[in-house]
Amino acid sequence: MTGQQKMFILLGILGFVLIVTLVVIFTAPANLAGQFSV
Amino acid sequence: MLETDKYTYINRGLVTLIVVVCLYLVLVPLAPRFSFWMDRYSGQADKLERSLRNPKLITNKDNQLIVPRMMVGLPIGQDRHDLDDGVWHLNTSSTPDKGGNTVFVGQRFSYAKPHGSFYFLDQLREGDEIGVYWKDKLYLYRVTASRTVDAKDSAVLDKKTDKPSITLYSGSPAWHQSKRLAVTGQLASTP
Repeated sequence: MTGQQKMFILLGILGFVLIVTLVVIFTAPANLAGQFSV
Repeated sequence: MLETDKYTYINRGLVTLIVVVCLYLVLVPLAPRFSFWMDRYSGQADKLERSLRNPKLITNKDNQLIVPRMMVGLPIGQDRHDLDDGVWHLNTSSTPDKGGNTVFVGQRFSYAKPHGSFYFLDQLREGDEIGVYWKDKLYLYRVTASRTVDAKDSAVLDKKTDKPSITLYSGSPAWHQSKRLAVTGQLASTP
């Protein structure tokens, strides 16, 4: 495995984590809204 | 050689994507501050302060909350879903015309809606003015205290108070909201 391939795997994992983070923060309900939900 | 070139290009693309996403995550929380400066520069705060001095300048006759320090001049919603878009009057609390404690709730920050109506709630200081235009009458309050309380502490939302008062209620800190920030004020005048 070359250095570029190792870097590709590392960046791929980092990119995936960031995309998941974006999805989570955009879809999570605001804490305050939950307090007054009925 | 060609295989190495392919990975080089892909890696450059991934680095660019990661940098862009990281910049977005860092800069979006600062966006409301930028719009705040722009509004201040354009004289929005002066306009809000003038409307507190002279209610005739309030052209929109809907119930509304006016807080020049926070650059807020927003209609007051009666439905819980208004909490996500502006200011919500907690319907279990009092109203300005009935005395007691009137509670308004607003969001501060989320990535989906970075500039919540109460984003700058922590900027309010003792003596700052809070105006509530309610049923064609302006009620002017002055901030008396600002405190951070536990999310389960509902004492600040109590309806009964000795003097007519107001509570602006939101999450704290702005991006985590594990606690609650309650700014209270007392009625100063009804011009």
